[in-house]
Amino acid sequence: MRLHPSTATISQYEDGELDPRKRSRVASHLADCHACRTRLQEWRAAAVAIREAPIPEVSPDLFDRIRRRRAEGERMILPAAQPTPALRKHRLMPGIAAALALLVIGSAVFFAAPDLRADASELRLFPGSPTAGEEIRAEYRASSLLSAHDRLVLRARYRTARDEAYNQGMRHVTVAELVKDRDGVYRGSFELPEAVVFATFAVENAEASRVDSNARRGWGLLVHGADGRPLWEALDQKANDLMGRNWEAAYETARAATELYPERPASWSQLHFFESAVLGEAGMDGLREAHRARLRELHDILAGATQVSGDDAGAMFFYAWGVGDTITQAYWRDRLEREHPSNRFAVQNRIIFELVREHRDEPARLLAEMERMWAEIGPVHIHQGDQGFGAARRAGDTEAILRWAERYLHFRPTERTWVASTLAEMPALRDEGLRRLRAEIRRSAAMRPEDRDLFATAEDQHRKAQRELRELYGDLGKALIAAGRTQAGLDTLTLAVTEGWNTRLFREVAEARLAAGDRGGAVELWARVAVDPATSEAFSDSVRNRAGDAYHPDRWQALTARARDVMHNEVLADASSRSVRGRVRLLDSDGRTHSLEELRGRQATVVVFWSRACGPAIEALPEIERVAKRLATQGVAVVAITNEQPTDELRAFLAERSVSVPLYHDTRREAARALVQWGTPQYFVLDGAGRIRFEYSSLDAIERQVAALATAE
Amino acid sequence: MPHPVTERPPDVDPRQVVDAADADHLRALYDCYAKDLYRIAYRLTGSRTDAEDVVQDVFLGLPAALSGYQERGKLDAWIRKVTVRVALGRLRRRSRRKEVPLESAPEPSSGRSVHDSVETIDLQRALDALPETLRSVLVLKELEGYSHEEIGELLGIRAGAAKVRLHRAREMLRQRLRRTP
Repeated sequence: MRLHPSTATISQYEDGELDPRKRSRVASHLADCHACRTRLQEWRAAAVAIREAPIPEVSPDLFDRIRRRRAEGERMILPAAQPTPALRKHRLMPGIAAALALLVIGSAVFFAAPDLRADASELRLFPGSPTAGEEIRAEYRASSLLSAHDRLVLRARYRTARDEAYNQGMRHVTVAELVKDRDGVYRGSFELPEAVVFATFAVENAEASRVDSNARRGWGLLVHGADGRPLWEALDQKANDLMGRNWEAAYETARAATELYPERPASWSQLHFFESAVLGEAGMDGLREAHRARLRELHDILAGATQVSGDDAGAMFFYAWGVGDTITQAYWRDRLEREHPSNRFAVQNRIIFELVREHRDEPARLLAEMERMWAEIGPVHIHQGDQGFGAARRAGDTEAILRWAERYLHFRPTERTWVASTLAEMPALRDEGLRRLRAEIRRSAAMRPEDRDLFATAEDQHRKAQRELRELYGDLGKALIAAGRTQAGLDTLTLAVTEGWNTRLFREVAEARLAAGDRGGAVELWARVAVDPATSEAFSDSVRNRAGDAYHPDRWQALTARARDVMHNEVLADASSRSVRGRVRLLDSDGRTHSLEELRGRQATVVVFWSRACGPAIEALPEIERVAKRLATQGVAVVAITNEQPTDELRAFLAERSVSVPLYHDTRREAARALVQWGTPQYFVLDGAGRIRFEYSSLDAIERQVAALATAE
Repeated sequence: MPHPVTERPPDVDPRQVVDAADADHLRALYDCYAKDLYRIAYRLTGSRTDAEDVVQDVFLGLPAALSGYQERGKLDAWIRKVTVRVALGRLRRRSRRKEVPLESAPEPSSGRSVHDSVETIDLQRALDALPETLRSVLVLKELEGYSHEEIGELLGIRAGAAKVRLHRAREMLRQRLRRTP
């Protein structure tokens, strides 16, 4: 008989109130018990609905009613006396001041960014469970973000069965025009392309200046089979689409796949992958045994079958690899290789585990093997492209480099710019590289609409294209100088640095100018590098030495003052303004609760989402420490957040790395929801009033952003 | 070890207070907060009329109450809690008079939303069907994220009782949502 945890225990599990041992026991039960898991999922769905499901609109005249009643002398005594928060002396209510400035003053550049929240909108698609190629009707109820328009545009990111994870380089299409009906609802229809198994939608105005991304979730549509279930491929692609932007939802999707398709090994291998990503290694402790048992079960069924598909064999291999069962892993690698040698997983294994290892120091041999594989089976796996291109470059075989560049681009068409720059750096292929860089510049200037991300406005896309264009000018300029066309190269490099803020580019262009004898021009760019908060103090001294008589203290001062203005303007151009939705409560390492508000800094707050299970997050720790120390003197708080429970193990992990930045525990995932976080390490910069001004920032940009916010205030 | 809910009595220098009685300022506050406060009130009372009355009461009393308020950044949490108190007060009065809200959520319900969430109309109906003692606990937890201690303080019950009510409410809401087609 199986003993289920009580609802009280599951409730405490959900609220992060169980001790680690009990928590892991419950987690392991949940992994195995459909009933309890469903209960928890339904609780969560209800909780999300309580927070997010639309409610009737407020009457538009409510404020007028309030004003009338006040004018008539009506007053209320609010039950507010007891909970008045603590006093902080000599501050003039900046919370309210900010709220007022936002709406009353309105003229300051700082507050000019509109707060584009779309919390009351809704997109419904009929049928909600379409089969492939079906005609879809869309009904959209707009929030204030888009409700002023008569016509709106429905855009989609379409996914077919073999599309890759993450959304880089995915294509986006306009699928329908939505026209406002008399009842205020926007309607339109479109035909789902036959090959599409999953789609994510967003709604925007005709100019694409406003995009309703459903708080960056988008709206998803799963293609269903004749039996009424969503296709396995549809669930797989939904998880791919969510990867990197919402790990938890991807995890839920993988869960659904195991429930609908428990016989497919790929369901379980995917679940294991997302479970590790969401729960981290520590959270997997209680689940590993259950996975091993599942693997054995699947193995017993499939190993006895005469016919096993390549994808199933590949999934068995990955599942065994994930749970650390080396014997089962070897069995399935062998069967995959023997029975389906041209399956994509077999090809991947052969490249990674055999060819690359065996011929690490013999690029020509590796190249020959890759050529042979290509001739035999054609394009099957991305590793053919990247490893082949790499081997050709290391072998220095010009013709092979060009051939493999095309093969690589077959898998990754969005990497054209990188390929062009790489070729331009090779003397023998410089002209080809230059030709491709110029073609990329033309392409970038043309800004094709299908390249615009689903959730990006035209303005976002324009800024992104400009950033790419500047990088391209940088690469082209350097290649021109290397080709001996110094003046054309310097002119091109000037285009790369007239706008934007990229200290790496500034340094590179300064060096090029210096090499060409333009010391004044170099000093101008060095002034920009010098004012960047990420630059060391010693840099200014080195400029004095290297610039020689091109350095005058007065001119340097004027240059740095201007550089500072440029930096602030460039940084603020990328600022947004959105409030933290709902209350955010975090546990400190002693288990005490704090609200995010009380942890905030006077000037600004940097929120860092961090995870012990994430390599890049661990690598970033020393730099996070350094940034936090520098910012502490400026009234800026750094709040590091993990979704892990406070445990002795975690404390020891942090102590070992001498981490002094306090780490808080988002056990209820309130911070993740409120800031719309989807990965680690992830950085957000909040201003003094607690509004989110920079989302998904990067460590090297944070200090600039804080400095720019200080000038705007 | 639960931590105590510490909230100090008002201790404010009136000179530092922005004049919220000024109509423009009140409007700004309204634009900033009304929507959120209305949601809290609506989820607690289950009635549009009651929720709007709660918001009205809050803004009628806000200028005076703000003269007793002084803290950067916590205004949001404070104003939300005040709203919760006003809404709970209204609920208590309503239940003494045995009133039932007249309307239920007037949301369209044809077709299924592609977004994986509980249907709006079912949710409010199911919430309304919960006993008031359970519904308040659930809404305060899921919408406002209050701790058991805070919920206990707001409802005048012990933290332990709030905890018990929470899991009962979760389970009962789930059962009700399952039953609706």
